[in-house]
Amino acid sequence: MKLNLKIMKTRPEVSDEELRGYMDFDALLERRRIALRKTGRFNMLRNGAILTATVLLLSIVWYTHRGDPAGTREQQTPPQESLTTERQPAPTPLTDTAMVPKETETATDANRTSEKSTIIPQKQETPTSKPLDAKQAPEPAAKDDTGYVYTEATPIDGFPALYEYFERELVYPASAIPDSIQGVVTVNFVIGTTGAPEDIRIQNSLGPAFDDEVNRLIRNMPAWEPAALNGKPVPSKLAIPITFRLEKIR
Amino acid sequence: MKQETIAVSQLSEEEEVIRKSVENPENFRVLYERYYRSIFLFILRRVGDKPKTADLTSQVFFKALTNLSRYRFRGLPFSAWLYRIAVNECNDLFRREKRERFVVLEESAAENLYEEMFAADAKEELKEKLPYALERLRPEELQLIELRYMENRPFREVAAILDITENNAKVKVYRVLDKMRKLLLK
Repeated sequence: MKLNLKIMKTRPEVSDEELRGYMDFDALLERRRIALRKTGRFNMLRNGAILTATVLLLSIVWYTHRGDPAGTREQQTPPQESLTTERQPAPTPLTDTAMVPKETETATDANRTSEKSTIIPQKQETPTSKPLDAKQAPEPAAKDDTGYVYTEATPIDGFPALYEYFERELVYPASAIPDSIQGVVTVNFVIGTTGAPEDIRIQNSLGPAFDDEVNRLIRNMPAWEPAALNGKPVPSKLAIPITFRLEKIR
Repeated sequence: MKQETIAVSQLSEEEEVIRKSVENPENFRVLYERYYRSIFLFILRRVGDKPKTADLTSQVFFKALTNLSRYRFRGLPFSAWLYRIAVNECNDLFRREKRERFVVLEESAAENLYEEMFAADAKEELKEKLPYALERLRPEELQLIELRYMENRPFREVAAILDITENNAKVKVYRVLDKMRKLLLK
């Protein structure tokens, strides 16, 4: 195969003024700043709906489970329920295109282009919570015939504030920009009786840099109101998918 | 040609600047000012179009700045790393866009190249066929010849730019010369 070559007899030159016209270090700094800043987007409505559905399902599961102390009948149901609800948010970033500019390209393309590729980590979260202590009955703020009252763990400032916190704080790890890694990291944690996250576990890792970022995010998130059983705080488990994605601008 | 020979003191100064730039990117300005011209010209010699070159150059510095923490000082001027990024950016461009690839073949470079291949038995008409031989190289082969003969870089730098060992760079360059010799004598 022949190269499409154009041979020049002399070296091209460029004048200082011309060069000055092209140089722009401040724009470079700005570009870097934008690249490192995340912009998260999520669909509150969808999240709310999924959350409500999850809570409802879990309470139903728990209710039937309670009625069968041996636990043989419904034992398998809770993991299944939580599995489906936890998985659900994963594909949402893709269906969320209405909110995402169309220019999003494949990772390699974005990396190759000379144009600016800006990193926009995105997250969508639907906490799935379930009580840790099976002996204590959950029923979302409802009283069943046994007289137990269970309230879900909720962020003190509410879910919108939590989402806002994620949106504000999530930083795409700079070290992963060249590899254009995108994906969802699911993080499991327990909201302890003090309302602080404990036992943070990364479920599907994208790499150490992402794990660190997610750990940092969860550790520093605003305080939660712990789940309560008859007004007494109890630990509860949550899973939040966090989406890191790159987005090309311009 | 103008070679960037820099003193040892400057090397350690660069190392220091890079360390500071990782903490505060504003410090990177010194290196940006220092190498902008050479990177610009390096790309221009391959791309041949100034606005496109400016685009690629800013991309090179952007990548360098965002990956600065991964830069490992190996006793070479920082520019070698910038050139490596520039080579990759150019390769990407040529792969992505079906555009003409420019190459500067000055009289002196042609002379060098020719002597390297045919010792003393000068055959002027063969020299005229050099462009023919260059066109029939693979892109990575042309890159080697260009860095070594058109830009007169020492093997050590050629190796650093292409991320191969110095010995490997020599072997590769001589294989390409061999290929060109055969093409010319055909």
